[in-house]
Amino acid sequence: MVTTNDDVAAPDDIIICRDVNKWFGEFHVLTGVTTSVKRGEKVVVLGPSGSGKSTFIRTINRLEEHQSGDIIVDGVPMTNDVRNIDAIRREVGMVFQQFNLFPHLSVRQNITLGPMKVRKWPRKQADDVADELLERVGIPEQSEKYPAELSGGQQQRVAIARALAMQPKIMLFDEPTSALDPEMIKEVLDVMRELATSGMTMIVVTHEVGFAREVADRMIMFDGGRIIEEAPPTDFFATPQQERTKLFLSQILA
Amino acid sequence: MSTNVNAEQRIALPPPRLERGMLGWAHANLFSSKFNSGLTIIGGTLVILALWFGLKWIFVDADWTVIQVLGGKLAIGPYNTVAACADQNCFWRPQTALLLATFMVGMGWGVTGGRATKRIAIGVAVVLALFAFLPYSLDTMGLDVRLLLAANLPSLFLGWAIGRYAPWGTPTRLVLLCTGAFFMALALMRGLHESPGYEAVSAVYWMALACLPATFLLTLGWRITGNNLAKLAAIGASIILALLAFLPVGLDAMGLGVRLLLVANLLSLGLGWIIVRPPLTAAARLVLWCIAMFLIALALLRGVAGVPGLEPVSVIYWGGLMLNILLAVFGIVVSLPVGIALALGRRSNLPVVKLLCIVFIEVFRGVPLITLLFMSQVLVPLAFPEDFPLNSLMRAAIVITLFSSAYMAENVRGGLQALHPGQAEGARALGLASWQTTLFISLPQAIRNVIPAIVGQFIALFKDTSLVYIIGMLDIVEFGRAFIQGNTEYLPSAKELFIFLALVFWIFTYTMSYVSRRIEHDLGVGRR
Repeated sequence: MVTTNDDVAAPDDIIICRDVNKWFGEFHVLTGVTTSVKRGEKVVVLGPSGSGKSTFIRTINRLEEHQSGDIIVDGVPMTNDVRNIDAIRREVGMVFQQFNLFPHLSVRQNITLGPMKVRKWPRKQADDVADELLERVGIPEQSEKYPAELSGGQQQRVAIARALAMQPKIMLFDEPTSALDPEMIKEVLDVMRELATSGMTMIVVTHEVGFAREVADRMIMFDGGRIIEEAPPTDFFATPQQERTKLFLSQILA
Repeated sequence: MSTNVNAEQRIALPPPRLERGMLGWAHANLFSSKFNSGLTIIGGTLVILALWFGLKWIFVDADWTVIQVLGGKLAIGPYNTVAACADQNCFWRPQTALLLATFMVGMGWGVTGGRATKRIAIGVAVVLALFAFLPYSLDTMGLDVRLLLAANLPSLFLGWAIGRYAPWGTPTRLVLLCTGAFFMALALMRGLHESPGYEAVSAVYWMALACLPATFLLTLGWRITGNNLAKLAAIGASIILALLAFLPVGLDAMGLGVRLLLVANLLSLGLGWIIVRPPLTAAARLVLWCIAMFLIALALLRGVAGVPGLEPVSVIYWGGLMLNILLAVFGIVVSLPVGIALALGRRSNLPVVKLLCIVFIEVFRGVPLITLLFMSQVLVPLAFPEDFPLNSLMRAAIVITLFSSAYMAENVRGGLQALHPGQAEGARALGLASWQTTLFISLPQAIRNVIPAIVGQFIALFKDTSLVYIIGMLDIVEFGRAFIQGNTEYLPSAKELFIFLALVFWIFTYTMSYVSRRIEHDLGVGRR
């Protein structure tokens, strides 16, 4: 196990990406992505579809494999070593656009599965944590239901609780509200705001500009598989530097 | 004010008369259009005609004496004939095996507490118990036979009580396991006794054999008491015995069989370890009980040389419905896990594993079962040493199972293909290892989705068991056919016989599809 290289990384960087490249067949999805995320930082990733932003956050927990460059998460380098991948996945929670809840398990079982099978917690402890988290995401009364019996917003909140149950240090959100009706978006964003104030390190791919302005410490703009602009939200929205960013913002803010 | 009135009206209005009750139902389903009404009338006429002639034939024209004459022989085939069992006193063994079966059905009911299981369990036991009151004379159907049939009811309730109240309590566990080990040892001895060159079997062989139950019981002792000395003894003995198998002496001094038996001590160590305080769910425990009972039933049917009352009955005399059920139960229980393994293998990333699974599946799916059965009798013996203890029944059972598991593999693979890739991603993102993702996420969903196909395969397998006639075994169909061929005075009754046989098969297959529908309902398939 290698610890972080001090020459590039500040000691409080929890995610470090250096010249990350990825191809889907012949298609170059990520073309040299370099960035780092500090402990407790909230990063919102914007970009047109097909710009590689989803692929980028999926490389951080190895749902996608990068072909060259370094990714170091909480001091653990992402290699082909299964132990490293498992160690990283334990510390990184992820919330998907399509929720990806397990339909054959109840809400409670969805939440306790990870802690019991991966962290080897006894059932009692896992159940207690599940109840606590369901309370926190505002649906304590639904624990015995099955995902299909819940609304989309409730399902996404269960998915957040499921990821949090593993007590991750980092949370990745891949367009968490894109599959939701407008009135359900708010209930999910509220949970995410609360999570942000608790100090969690978050990387969020979203088009919710209001949320980004309010919560983000830094905006990242993706285009053509690269980061073309990084700035705090106030500067990012007020005085974007790149033409592409201006064009994109004018379209989503219209 | 006016809105209130509207609301009341909305609640109060009844639906039109034509859409309610029986009349409404008939209107909606039978006479919704001219075409539909015509179909209903034609169909209804056909049904009434079929019922009229069918019932008339069943109750007036048909001559059911052939069923009466055959009687219990349809259930056990030639098992209790003079050729099979010299004093014709072996009937109690299949009957006891049946008792074990109802015991297990009862336990299934006790453990699951399901409504379908309860209905089937009570139905089976009541029907069997009613057979005890068939109006045969006592000479044809003795009191002992009737008692053993009636005993199915108490046997069911015993199983239920154990399943419900003492699922895996230490005393029952110990009794069951010791019995199981004892019978397994007997069965082993019996198998060896029949193999050629038995006289030449050395004392070493017997000693090696005796070690198996010993290490098993030692392990049980360790697991149940938790005694460290017993632990040391069990693990130490098993490992040392297994290592002895690799002694560098010639095969003349220590045969392959002895070596295999020595290595098998590791198996009995593992078995003893897992069976006591197993990290198992109630369902898994039930499966273990079933396997133990199945083995005991087989040992009972097979018999043991030299034990009074348990004279060996060669498998060529096993027949009747018993044979169909034995083959089907073995096939169903084994082909599901084998099929799942093959399906996973076929989706594996390892090219060699994948290729082997594809070849296996395509070969066994591509050859007719009859051909496979025939080959099992002619070709398999060529591939094994002459004294390999694999009798014709076992070969047939293995071939039927492999054939079925090839189909099962494709069913399960279909279920796996249909899963959304997000499911596996969700599990991986949680940090579950890939085997955990398969075991807890992919397989349960895949299998739920293909329950109808799996049960269809079980039904096909059950019906296919009657193909063992091709290798000269007298299953229920072949036994009936051979009987008519040999007693030509019953030749006109052939249709009664075959209709009866069809009914027997239908009862079993319909039960299976009923269970499948209940399982789907309980799992909420299609709803979540």
